[in-house]
Amino acid sequence: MQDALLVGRVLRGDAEAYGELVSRHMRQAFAIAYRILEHREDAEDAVQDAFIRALERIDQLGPGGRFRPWMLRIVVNTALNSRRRRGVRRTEAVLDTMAADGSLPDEAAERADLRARLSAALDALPEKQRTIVQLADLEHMRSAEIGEILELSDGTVRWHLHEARRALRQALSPVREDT
Amino acid sequence: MHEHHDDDALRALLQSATPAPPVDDVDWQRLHARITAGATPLLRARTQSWWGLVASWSGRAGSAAAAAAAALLLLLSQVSRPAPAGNEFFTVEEVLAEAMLAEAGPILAPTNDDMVEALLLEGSESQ
Repeated sequence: MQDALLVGRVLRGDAEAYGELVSRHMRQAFAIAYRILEHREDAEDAVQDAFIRALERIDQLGPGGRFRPWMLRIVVNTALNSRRRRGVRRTEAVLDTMAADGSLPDEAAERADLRARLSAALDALPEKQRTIVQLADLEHMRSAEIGEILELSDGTVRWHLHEARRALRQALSPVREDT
Repeated sequence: MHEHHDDDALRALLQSATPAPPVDDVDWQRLHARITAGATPLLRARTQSWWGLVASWSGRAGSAAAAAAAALLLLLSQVSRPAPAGNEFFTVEEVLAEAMLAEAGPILAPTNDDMVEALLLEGSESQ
């Protein structure tokens, strides 16, 4: 069944239809929230909040509205708000990964250094550019799709992506010369 | 071309250095249950408002139907009610015939010639 039909049923209070929409989209919602928040529990909370907000505003979607980009827009906004409010608790995640991957101390230290530089470089980007890089380069989304989620034109997304990559290249250039 | 190559290298670097979302660590059933539990009051309110809407519409439709039925009953009772005793009851044909006669009234009514004739007759009788 198409999302639009499920949305129609949710408008009438159909819990089963809502559950189906959650099942379909929660994994991608989590992935995006995680990219922004870099913390599993925070990302789960953001996904939960986003789905509840979506239900509260589902009348605004309109009959021809596409659920997926609309829903992911709410996820992005919820995660960004959470990030602004709480800050990023990524240190925990980096330490967890370092302990789990079993690499040699030197390699681990090198990776940790690279991650720290990347994190700093990403943090230095304007919020919009950072989100676009995360969606494009980490979640493999096309610029048109990102534009639909962020309510930007395709050209604007590409321009932001170009600028963000340029800034990251500049920030990471000493590391990239080493690797 | 060079920039495209750089973009690919940067993307690879980002992917290798950024931890992937820990999808295997998420208890998806629990997360789904959390979300749907949080949504239950909102969905219930929607169900109630939906049924309330249906009920209000059906209530309005019921009132309209009752009013229409009452009007129909009144009309039927007027049509089929027997004429009260002592009053004349006219059929359609009788009403039409009466109207035709009324229309023909001026022809049947006494003319000036009739009046003259009556006066002459009256005069001759007195003589």
